[in-house]
Order: sequence, then C-alpha cells, then structure tokens
Amino acid sequence: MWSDMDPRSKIFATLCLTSMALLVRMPLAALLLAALTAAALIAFGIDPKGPLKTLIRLAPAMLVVAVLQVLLVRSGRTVLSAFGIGIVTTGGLGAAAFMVVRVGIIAACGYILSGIGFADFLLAMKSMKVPYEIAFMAAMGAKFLPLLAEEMTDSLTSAELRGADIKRMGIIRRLRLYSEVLMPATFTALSRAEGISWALELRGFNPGAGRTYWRKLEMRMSDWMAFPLGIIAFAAFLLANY
Amino acid sequence: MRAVSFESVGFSYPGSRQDKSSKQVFEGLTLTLVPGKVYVMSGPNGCGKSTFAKLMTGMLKPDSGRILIGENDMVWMGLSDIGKHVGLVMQNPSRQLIMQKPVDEIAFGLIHRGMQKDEAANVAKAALRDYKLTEIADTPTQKLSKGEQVRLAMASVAVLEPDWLLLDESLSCLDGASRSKVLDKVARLVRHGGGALIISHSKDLAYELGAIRILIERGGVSVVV
Amino acid sequence: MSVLVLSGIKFAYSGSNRKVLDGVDLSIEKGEAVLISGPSGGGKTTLCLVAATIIPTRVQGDFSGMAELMGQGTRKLGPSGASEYVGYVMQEPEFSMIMPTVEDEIAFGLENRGREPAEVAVAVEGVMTRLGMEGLAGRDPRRLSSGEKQLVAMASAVVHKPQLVILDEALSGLDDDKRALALAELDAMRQGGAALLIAEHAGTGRQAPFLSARRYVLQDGRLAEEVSG
Repeated sequence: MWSDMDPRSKIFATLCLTSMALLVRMPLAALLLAALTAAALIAFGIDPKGPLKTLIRLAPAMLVVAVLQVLLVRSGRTVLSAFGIGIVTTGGLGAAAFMVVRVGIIAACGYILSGIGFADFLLAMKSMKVPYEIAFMAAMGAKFLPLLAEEMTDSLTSAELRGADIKRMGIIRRLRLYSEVLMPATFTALSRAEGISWALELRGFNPGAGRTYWRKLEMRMSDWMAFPLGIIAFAAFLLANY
Repeated sequence: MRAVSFESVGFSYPGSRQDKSSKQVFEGLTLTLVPGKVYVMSGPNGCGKSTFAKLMTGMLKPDSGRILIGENDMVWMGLSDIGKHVGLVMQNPSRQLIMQKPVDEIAFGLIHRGMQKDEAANVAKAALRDYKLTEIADTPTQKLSKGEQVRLAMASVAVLEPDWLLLDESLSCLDGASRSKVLDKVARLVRHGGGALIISHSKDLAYELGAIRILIERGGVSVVV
Repeated sequence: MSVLVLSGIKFAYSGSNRKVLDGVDLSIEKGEAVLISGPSGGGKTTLCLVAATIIPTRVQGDFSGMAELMGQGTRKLGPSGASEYVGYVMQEPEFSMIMPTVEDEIAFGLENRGREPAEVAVAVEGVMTRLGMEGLAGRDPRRLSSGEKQLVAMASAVVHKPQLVILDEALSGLDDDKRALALAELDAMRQGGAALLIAEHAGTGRQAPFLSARRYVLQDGRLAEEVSG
C-alpha cells in the first residue's frame, strides 16, 4: 500500500520500532510490538517472506544465544533442575524469548531500511540535516554488507562445484573454508565499494553542491500519518512498560 | 562423458521489491548437449544466456521440467557432484576465485577431490605454466587483470577434468594471445571426448570455431548446426 | 585547447615496483577519437583512471608526469571537478548501479549537476530511445543482465554531454545491435565536439568502431601508435 512511501517515514518508523524493541520489558508489550512490526512491514508493502527467510538463516545463531540465555539467566521460578541444581528458570526462558523477539524486530527493520535506495537514503539523511560524511559512511556500510554477501555466495558456490561438499563437511573444515573465502571476498567487496565511490564522484555526486530532483521526495498524507502514529505507539508503549 | 539434457525446462525470476514484475526467462526449453562437441550460445543482451549457465551448473533450479546429466536428474545432485561433470568459468571471474595465491587456487579443487597436497601443488604449477600464468604466480588473485583471472579460473576448473566446460562470456575480455590459448584448451578437451559450451553475444564465434550454434531469442531457443 | 594532455605519465600501484604506466604521452583534441588496445594487464584501465583524475587523487601509488583535463591539472581538479567534463563508462558496470530504476539511474548524474527536472526528463527519454533501451524502463538496474547493465552505464555516463567520454572495455558485452546503437551515439557526440578515449583489448576482430580513430597499442606501460595496414 505504502511501498513507495517517503524514505524519511521509513527511517522514522524503523527508529521507533528498534528503540521500542531495545526498551521493551513486559511480555505482552513485546507481543504487541511484534504485531506492530508486522503491520509496518505490510504497510510498507514488504512481502513478509523476505524477512522470514532472513530469520531462518539467523536461526542457528539465535538458538545458540537463546540456549546461553536460558542457562545463564537465573531468576524467577526454577522449571527444570538436575541433581538439585536449577538449570532452567522462568527468568532465563523469558530472557531468551525477549532476545528472539528483539532480533526479529531489528531484522525486520533492517529489511525496511534496505528497501530504500542508496541515493534516496542519502537524500533523506541530508534533508534531515545529518552531516554528509556520516550519512555517506552509513550508506556505504549498508551497501557493503550485501556486496560482501554476494561475493561470499559466488565464492562458496565455486568451491562446492570444485568438490568442497559444504553440507557434509565437519564444522572445523567448514569454518576453515569460510575463513579462507572471507579474505578474498572482503577484498573484492571493498574494491567494489571503492569503485562505486569513484563512479559516484565522477557522476557529480557532491552533496555540498546544489542538486535538483526530477522525482520529488514528496511527503504525502500517508507519510505525514507515519509520524503521529509512531509517536502515539511509542507513548502507549512507554505507559504500558513503566 | 555424459550428455546434458534440458527437458521442457521453465524458469522465471521472481519480482523484487523495487522491480515487481517477475521475469519469465525460459518456457518449455528442450535441448540436448552431446559431448565431443563445441557449442556456442549467442543471443541478444538479456535473453537468458547466463541464466542457462546457472541452470546447467545447478546454481538455479528450474521451476518446471528437469535437467539431466546422463541419466541423473540434477535436482537430486549436490553442487559438488554436479561439479564433477560441469566446470564453470563465470562471467565475472573474480567472484569465483577464492584463494590468495594462484597456485592454491588451482590446487583447491584437486585437494577437495582427494589429491595429496604435494601432488596437487605440482599439478597446479604445471597448469600455471600451461596457461602462461607463471609470471603472475606471486600476485594475489584479486589483483590480477580480468583476462588473467579468466585464465586462472579456467585452469582451476580444467585440472579437475569435468565432462563439460562452460565459459560464460569469458572470451570477450581476453586479448588475442590468451584467447587462442583458451580455445586450444577447449579443443583439447573436446578431442578427449568432453564438451564445451561457450556463451558469447558475438554471432561470429560459432563460425570461427566451426561450432554448433545455439541461438536464444527471448523465450525460445533454436539450434543451428 | 586540448581536452586531455598526458605527458611523461608514470605510475606504479603502491606495494608494487612494476610501472604499470612507464612514460605515456597522449593528447586528445576536441572531436577526436583515440582507441587504445593492448594485452590484458597492459595498463589500459590504469590509463583511463589517470584520464578521469582518479589516479593520482584517489588511488595510492607512485605517480609522476603531467596530466591536464580541459587545461587544468588533474591533481587539483579531482573527480568532483572532472565530473563537469568527463563521462566514464567503467569496466564493471555494477559500479554505477545505485538507483531503484533504470530511468532514475540515468537521471542521477543530471540531478547531481543541478539540471531542471523537465530538462532531465527529456534527456533521459532521449538517450534511452537512441540506445534502444525502451524495454528497460522501470526495471531495477541491479537485476539486469550484464550486457544490459553496460548499456545503462553508458547511458548514465553520456547523458550530460561530457567533453570527454572514457570507455574502458565498455562495449564488450553488448550484442551487435546494441553495439551499433552505442557506436552511433558516440560518433554523434564526437561530431558534436566531444573527445573519445576508448580502451578495448585487441584480437577479437570486433573493434574498428571508428575508422577515423587514432589507434595506439599499450603494452608494458608504453604507448605506441599503431601503423595502419
């Protein structure tokens, strides 16, 4: 519905959502927040399949952290104990659940942000008076990770085609292969990022200078609505939590 | 040496967030590539040549139909099995190079296919000489020129002796000397019963090599002998 | 006034002793096309980077010699200053794929240079028609095939009518029809007074795009005029 919304509303919405995700304390509020994030995804016209895939890819790492949380946080009632020592507590389970919700929300926000084009992002930052150097670094950083991911995927594919059976490989050998591939992939991704910055400059991208916009960044009704909606949600959230 | 058959293969790229329309590339594509021959695939920009290469190496899976290597359906084969039969030189060779040193790059596949390290290093050194790459033996792979990267990628794949060699636009960035070097290697592979598929936007290449020409128009494929 | 003057250019990338350029002299006048061929790794890309002021301003290394673009020293000019005069189609077209649609991509350089929106729209439509790119309208540039990307990169680099167009292996991925359109566009620009610096590797039998071009071979860092015949 609002997939072509102004980048500024998207940035604002993700700012609200991520800060709420970091501050959330009550289980009910966390659930509501998850629902709100889902609503934001739909409102911005993002197919939830994409973020879900990202989550699935992050699942092993999240599982490890969740297990650690469960084992290390000991508060509340003991749920499971062995040899008289409490192993799993309600506090631990709660901490793990909160962590999963937080990571989920932050991943979804990353998805909303990555939908904003490189130049749109810079323009939005500029119009919000963010210093250019910081905006450019942030935009290049956001661009660099996908570049690196692309390089890694191709390198690993070529490794597999040459007999490295990653799926059946032991964890040690697999980690060694990843570390071998990471260096050249990082180098290539960096040199591509460098090439992109040259190309940008040679095409006159110089934020100090006057610039026109052949398509205007227009704040429409739906965009203006994102701001009060975000503020109301945030206020309600604070009231519910504290 | 096994044939590769496409049996009424359909493939489309799904739409993305910015570019909503999904893009149908192939529909009912049926084609058999017989070993012992050189094929040159040409067609206009954006007709699906690279997509064909990705399907043939299992990097993409067809939406419908099936792709067979010999009698085996590729869907059930892992990339490392497919790689025994099909060796790919990517359009952008820097993406497929994974090691720092050229020698290690060539040895990588040999070692993963079970060769002892010393022996693999010897084979790799011989391949460097063979592909006239000894001069750059100490240059990090990512700093090589594109033409050198193509030759290195080709050497790393060719030492594994796949049934098929697939060159995706690899010739267009080679100068005369390295180009004929690469074509020599292709001819040698074919003499030994293997097959080669060279993807090129240039129509003339097929005549030059006396190869079988595969012409892809948008959505359809024709084979010209 | 010459568009580009290079004299006694020497360059070695930092960390390497090899002189990629070893005493290159070249000047290009208005309305002139220069074709540089030579083996891969022979220094063609480096020469293009020097002409575009990226070397010495953005790349570390050992640079000496005199380089002037439109009568101004390239070291002082830098890429931002050079962007007034130069359209650079890089070997990797992906370096200039940053906007969400093909039209926005082509418009980007004009917007940066402060052109009026109406003028931008006309220029974008014009170059897309001349290069036969109507079918690419609305597409996401990053999802195009590599030949199509080259075409978008070329359109983006020439849409502001630069005085010097630099093409680094930039036509190699185009099919015959698109290549003909691209060459026609370049030749029209040349006749309008633009200078062209074209780097293409030798030996494909597909060059000779400009019969009027001065031809050079760049090998081992040195430039030699090719004897026609």
